Amino acid sequence: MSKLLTVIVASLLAAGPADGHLLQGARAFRAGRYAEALVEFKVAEKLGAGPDARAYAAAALVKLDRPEEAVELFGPKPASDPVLEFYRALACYQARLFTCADRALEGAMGRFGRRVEEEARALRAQIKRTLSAEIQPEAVDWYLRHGEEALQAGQPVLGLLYAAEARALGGRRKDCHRCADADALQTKAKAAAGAGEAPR
Amino acid sequence: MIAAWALSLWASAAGAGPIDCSKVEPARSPDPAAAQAYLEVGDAESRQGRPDTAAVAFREAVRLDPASPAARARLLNLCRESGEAADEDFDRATRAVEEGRYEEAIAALGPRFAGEGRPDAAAALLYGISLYERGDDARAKQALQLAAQSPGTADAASVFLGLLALRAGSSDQAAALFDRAGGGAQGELARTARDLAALARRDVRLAVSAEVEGGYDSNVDQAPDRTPVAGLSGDLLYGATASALLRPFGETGPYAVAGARLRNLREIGDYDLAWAGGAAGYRFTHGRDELRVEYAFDAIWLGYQPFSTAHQLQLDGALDLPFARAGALVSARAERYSAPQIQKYSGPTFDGEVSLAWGGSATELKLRYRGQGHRSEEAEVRWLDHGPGVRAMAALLWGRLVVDAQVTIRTYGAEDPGFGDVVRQDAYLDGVVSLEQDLGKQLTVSLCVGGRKAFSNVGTLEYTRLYGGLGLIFTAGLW
Repeated sequence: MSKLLTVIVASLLAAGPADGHLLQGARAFRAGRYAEALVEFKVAEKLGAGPDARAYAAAALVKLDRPEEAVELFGPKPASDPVLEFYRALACYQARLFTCADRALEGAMGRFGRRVEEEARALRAQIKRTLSAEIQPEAVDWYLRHGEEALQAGQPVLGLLYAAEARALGGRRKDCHRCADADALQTKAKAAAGAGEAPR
Repeated sequence: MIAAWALSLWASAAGAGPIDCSKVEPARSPDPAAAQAYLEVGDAESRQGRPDTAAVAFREAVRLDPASPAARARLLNLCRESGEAADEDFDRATRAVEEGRYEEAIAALGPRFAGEGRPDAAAALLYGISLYERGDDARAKQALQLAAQSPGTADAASVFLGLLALRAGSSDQAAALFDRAGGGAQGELARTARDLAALARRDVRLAVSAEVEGGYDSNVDQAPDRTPVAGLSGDLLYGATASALLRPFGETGPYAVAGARLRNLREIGDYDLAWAGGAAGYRFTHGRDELRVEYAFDAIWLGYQPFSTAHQLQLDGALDLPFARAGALVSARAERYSAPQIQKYSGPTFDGEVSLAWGGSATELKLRYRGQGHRSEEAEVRWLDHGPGVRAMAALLWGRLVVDAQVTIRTYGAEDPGFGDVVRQDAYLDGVVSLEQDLGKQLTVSLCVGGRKAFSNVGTLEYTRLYGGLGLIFTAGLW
């Protein structure tokens, strides 16, 4: 994704002490050295880079197949940049947060470049197929369990998104399987995350 | 020595990660502030269980601040845990432990435990093993507890923590630690840990045991090879043994043992044997070094007639040397024979033995040299003998195998009128192979096959004896 480098270089126009690390991270990212990119983005964040550094680090985590950490790092709100939002959608998708992924892609459609747009459409079609199957109670239970575990592990955003996914999937069933549990978990996760709004 | 064995098992189990452990080229312009940020990122990744990204961060921290010991130590630890490190001290210590040079291993690894910082688990395991072998139990425990916190070294560390507990007399705690190692480890380490757990449970302060045996002896009365009755001296045998052991302070300290044995022959009743005896002594230990002093008394009946009694004082010990485990034994035994025809054999017997051993408690090769002098009132039944011996012990999949062989060359003190006024000179070749297999925590089965070939300058004293037997041993700890 060379778009990411463009985004980062553009952000460097407002230069700061962490710029060199952001640039190093972007170069490493483009070269496929994602571990190095992650480290550089995290160092940049430590040295005072803006919140985008977190999102870049999250994108590197997606590439490193660490989607749960990526979801947590992206946070509950949509990314301002469509490329980063695409990575957030990928993180959600890889973490089996299909509703989260679909909403992220839906919100950014029309702002992607042509190639990303095509990938986003293909991903949404895949998500639609996945969600078209009958929702089993075990699936809802799985999300609630992982939500609790995420909260216990100090990952409130991930916990919140799992709870939201459980609520969305449970709500698709006639019996609204464990909807009340999902609502309660969302409330708990919001309190833990300090998030005042529902995740998208 | 168990150390080299455990080390090989642990090393073969350790995995290697894709971490770049090549030499780090320092940056032209050091930047300690940025290096600190990399260090913190590396620590965070390390806590997440991501050694690959942590290593990337630590390498950059080292590059930007080559003088930073913290960054170097963290990178080195990661590389060691992944098996990628080129760590000369560690490699030297590993070789030293494998070859039993524990002082050298302690010297190589000691500095890592002298300063601040947390040594890696692999070094802690090696260091702990070395200290254990040298008898520094307190420091060994600290190092092994550190090694026990890492999944890659936890099982081997638990084995040695169990051995420490055993040495301290806490057999219950030792058994629990061996169980833990046996439950987590795979293959040979698991099997040995389970064996050690069984042994630890036997390492009680008051134990009783009983054995029943059956077998065959081809030459009960040591009939000469050239006589026509030689083939008629064989007989089936059966018997039982009971014994009790008391050691109120565990392996180290005072102890007492008493026992009795009956061994009957099916047909040759004159050689039915009864034995009763007891011993009391004190065992001193320092690490693996040990010294034991013991007094013993026993009495033998043959054909249910009193045969002999003896009082014995014995001193024996073993010491770990850099190249082997050295042992020595001296004893003095006052023997008195009851039957009129053998009373002339009464008198003191002095024994001595030196040995060198390699290996450990489960697998060991021991070379020894024994000597014995027997004094009696009649010179023709005094003797001096000596000769080399070897004992090999191995823990195999199907049990414990022991092979023992001894050569004895004996010269008597004077011409014997009973044998044509020649000074008897005998030589004995003895060999025995035994196999033990635990059937449970308290039951062991034992199979034994052995023999003796006796040579002599008196032809009628040459004989061959072969024997074999099967025993079932029950052991129970009462305290």
